[in-house]
Amino acid sequence: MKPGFELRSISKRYDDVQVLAGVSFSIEPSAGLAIIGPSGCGKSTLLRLLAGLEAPTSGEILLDGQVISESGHIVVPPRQRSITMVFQDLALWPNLTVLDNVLLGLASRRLARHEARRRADEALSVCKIEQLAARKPGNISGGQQQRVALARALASEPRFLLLDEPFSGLDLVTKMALLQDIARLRADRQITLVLVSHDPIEATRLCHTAVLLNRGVVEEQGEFDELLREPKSEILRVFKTSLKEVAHQ
Amino acid sequence: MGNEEQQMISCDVLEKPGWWREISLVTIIFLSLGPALPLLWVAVTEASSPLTGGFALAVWRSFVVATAVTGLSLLAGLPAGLLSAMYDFPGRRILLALLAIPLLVPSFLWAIGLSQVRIVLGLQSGGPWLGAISTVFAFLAPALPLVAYMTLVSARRLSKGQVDAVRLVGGERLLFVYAARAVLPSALLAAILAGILTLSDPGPGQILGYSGIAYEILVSFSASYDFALAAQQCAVLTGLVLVVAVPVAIFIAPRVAVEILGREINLAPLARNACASWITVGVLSCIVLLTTLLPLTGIVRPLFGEFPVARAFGEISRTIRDTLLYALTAGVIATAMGIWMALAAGRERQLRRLALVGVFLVLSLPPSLNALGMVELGTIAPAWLDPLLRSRFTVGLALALRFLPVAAVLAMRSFGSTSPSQCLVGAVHGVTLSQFLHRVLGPAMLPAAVTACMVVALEATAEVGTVLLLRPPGADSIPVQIFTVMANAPEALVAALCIFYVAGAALLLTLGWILAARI
Amino acid sequence: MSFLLTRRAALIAFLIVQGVTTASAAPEVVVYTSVDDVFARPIAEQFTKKTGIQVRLVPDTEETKSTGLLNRMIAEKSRPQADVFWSGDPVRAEVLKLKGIASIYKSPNAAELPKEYSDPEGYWTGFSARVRVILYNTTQIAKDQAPESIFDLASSPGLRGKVCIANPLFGTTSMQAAALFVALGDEPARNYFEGLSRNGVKMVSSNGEVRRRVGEGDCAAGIADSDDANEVVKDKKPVGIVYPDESGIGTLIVPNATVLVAHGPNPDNGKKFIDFLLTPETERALAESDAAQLPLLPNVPTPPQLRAIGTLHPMHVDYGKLALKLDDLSRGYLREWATKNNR
Repeated sequence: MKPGFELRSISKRYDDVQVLAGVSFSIEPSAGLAIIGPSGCGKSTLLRLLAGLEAPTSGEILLDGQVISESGHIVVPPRQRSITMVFQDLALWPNLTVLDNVLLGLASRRLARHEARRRADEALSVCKIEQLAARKPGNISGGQQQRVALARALASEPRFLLLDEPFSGLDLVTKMALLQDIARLRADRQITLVLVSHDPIEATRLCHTAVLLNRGVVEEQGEFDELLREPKSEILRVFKTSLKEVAHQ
Repeated sequence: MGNEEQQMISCDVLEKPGWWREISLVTIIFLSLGPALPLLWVAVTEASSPLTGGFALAVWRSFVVATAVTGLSLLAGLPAGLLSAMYDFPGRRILLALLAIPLLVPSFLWAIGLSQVRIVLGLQSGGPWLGAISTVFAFLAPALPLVAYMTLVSARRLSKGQVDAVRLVGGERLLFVYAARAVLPSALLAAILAGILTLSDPGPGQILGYSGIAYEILVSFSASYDFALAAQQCAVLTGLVLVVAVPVAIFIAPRVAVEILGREINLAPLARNACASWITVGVLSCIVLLTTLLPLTGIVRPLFGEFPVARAFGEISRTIRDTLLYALTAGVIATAMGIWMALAAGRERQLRRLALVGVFLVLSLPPSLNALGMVELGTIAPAWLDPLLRSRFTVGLALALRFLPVAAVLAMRSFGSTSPSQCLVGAVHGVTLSQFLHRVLGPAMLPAAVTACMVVALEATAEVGTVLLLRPPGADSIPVQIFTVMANAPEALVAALCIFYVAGAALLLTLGWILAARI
Repeated sequence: MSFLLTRRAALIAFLIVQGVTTASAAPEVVVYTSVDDVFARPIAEQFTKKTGIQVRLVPDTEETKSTGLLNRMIAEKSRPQADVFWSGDPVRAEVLKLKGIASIYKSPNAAELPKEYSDPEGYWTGFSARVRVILYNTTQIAKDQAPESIFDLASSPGLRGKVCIANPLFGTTSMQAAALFVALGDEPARNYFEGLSRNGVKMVSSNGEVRRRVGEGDCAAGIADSDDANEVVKDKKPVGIVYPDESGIGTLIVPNATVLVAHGPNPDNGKKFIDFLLTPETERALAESDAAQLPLLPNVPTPPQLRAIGTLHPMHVDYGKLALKLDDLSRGYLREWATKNNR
């Protein structure tokens, strides 16, 4: 089976700053991949390259065996990649209601009005926020905003869901509930998930594989079980320790 | 992939680099300066008359006034703005509103008021020194609020964390010093701009007896009918302005860009400190008293004898339509161009700097430059271009180009306060550019657009020179009518017209405030 | 909400376009005038009431009196917007003639007007006049000590630093300056102006300012027009009026002048407006208004506080020569003098 995503020697440079260098890995369809690493190592940049929001300086990104991005050029634009993304600041459109946020997120699907409405209602229901449809993002809580961003992402029935530290700032209870729901949805809909996170619990709860980036280079990659069995890097050692402490408690 | 798909423009074009940005910025700045080119061409190619000796004296006088205005407005405006930004105080809204009034009223109205005050004080004549002091005073009326407001806006961008940290270490005094250093570039920019703007305003100097360069240009054009000389003098004035404005724009404007165009942060709340609050009230009250109430007292003085309401209403009803038309046309065009400029500059530092430098230069240049150029264009162009070059629209267009910088800064600030990820997530979801502008960015920038439209409209109404030169026959605005009749009409009539104008400006300011709060 | 706003914005834009581009369908005449707006406008309104023709009046500002509009007309020569130029003095009308902007029109209503105040070829017609007078503050100068000649203002030690005149680059002051140069010759005229400088003359922005300063006592004496004199009497200020040089070079008479602009957009309406200006009705209105203009038509009464034209010793002037001289002076001597005395 062709891997869903395949990155071949991806490098990204902004002026004099090399953010990514020779990054290569693949993401299996329906898999969950966590991209972890210290701050400023290029995680969010990698996610943006996968989404097609930026082009790599060199290298190729393939989707289902087809080149979608190559050196300095985006071959397939974001709207045609069956990808949705939840940004760190959620990027909700503040002047639109919750329902309109989801509906506008279906813009590229060119659905009939009733079909778009049906999907939006379904996404809100799945994310358990149907009662918030008429409210605006500024009038709901942080956790509810997260769910709106998730509903907007899921409404277009993507194959790939990219999450860029979407749970920061949430209390533990809200976060755990969201993690549970996302894990369930991912399994139900066979969505390939790519998550950027600092949190070991988030990473291991949603993903089975991980790529460790450090200074723009892949230091380690593989399944979490193997990576955590004998962690080579400091970050994974801390991950393992944290998970042990949580499990112990 | 269908053709329709290929032609669709994704909304992320607003967040990506592209040649359209540089081309747009250059085009807008060129359009702003374009009408002046025929004038500059005449100045360069026709050397019919040498610059007169009197011009040097006029340059010196203008330099004196500009320097004094710059220095004094910075000295008083910076602390006033800083205190207003840091502390809550009783009567805050009223004082800040009164402070803003001189910004919306033609400077010559204040000069009329001050000349009346001089009469009451028995100071009609006192040589060039009195004329210089009076003229500086008249120009300080709009200059002080400009610096104060710029300082206030800049100071309000200090984060809560910054303020709390400094306060903890050194108390209010250290905080004041720290904040003053932080806002100094913005305040300095505003003060220098205020000084530069005095160079191209002939009104106060003419009325109060200390005429400068702008008056010389007026004489060249109006008395000597020496268009070439007027063009040369305009070019000299422009050159002098650029000598000051370009370095300021290049070195200070980028710093200001960071302060006033950055994204919203966790702002420090207004502190409640009894001593500081009363000091603030005192400082602002003094400024309002001297720059607003004192000239207003002079303006209303003739009304104590009679108040020709009917006559004044007659004049206003005759001119109100054109006044509003010019204002609205200028506001709408400037806002549209300002938004275009903001989108083109985007979030790229270099482009925002280029945009700020460009708008600073446009604002610094004498308004007569464009206006005279349009007069020249209108007379040589074929008749079918009259709706563009010789109509009320021409006046609105010229005013829009003059005050485009105001709209551009407001639009850039508004765009800068939006999150780029809102656009990027739209791109991921296939939201087109038009959908994004219509549904997301447009509503987000609407308050700024409305504010820009109103501010430009008010400023445009107060700009007399451009309207004087370009108005079609019988299409006077209220300030032009006041300027026309002020010397020979009964003083009471002039006073009544001035008071109605100031009241109208204050009313529009209030309405704009309410509207902006509701949007 | 956003859709409604968009529709409203479109409506506003439409109204703007309609407002700025739609031309008036009613008959109209475009009149540029250097006569004070407060005096010219009632006359224009009276014309509209009588004929139904809308008057689009374009006044000038006091400070650039006569010359700002003149330059606009010269700039618009190839495609004039004005039909009529109603000037407060005949020199600008003469300039228009010299520049080829005036066209010949001999109104039937001009038959009874004195010929010496009109262009013999018919390019402009003079009516309703002002007079250059000396105003003096009666609390500072006794009646028998009042200056009788404009030359007293330059030479009298008692008036040192107490005299004000308007900027000689503009308006009737410029006309008077040119008249002196033509009547006396360059050297004596320059001597006069240098004498004014040495005697500490204060140059102010306008005749209105002269009137105000003399009325307030800031200046003991000044030169202004008879309509300014009328204002100051009406305001009951302590000011006396002298018709200068009655036994010398004479008092300068400054008639209004009306010009039919060549190739104007509404020539027929322009002629009707000129005809209206030259009627006894208009002269009476100008005489009875605050303008207090001296009628040139017989049988139209003079304002009681002023002297009739026929009782004055007028200065003899060739308006054609004045126009040429003024052009030369505005770029040369007068400009330097004005700059030097601008304080």
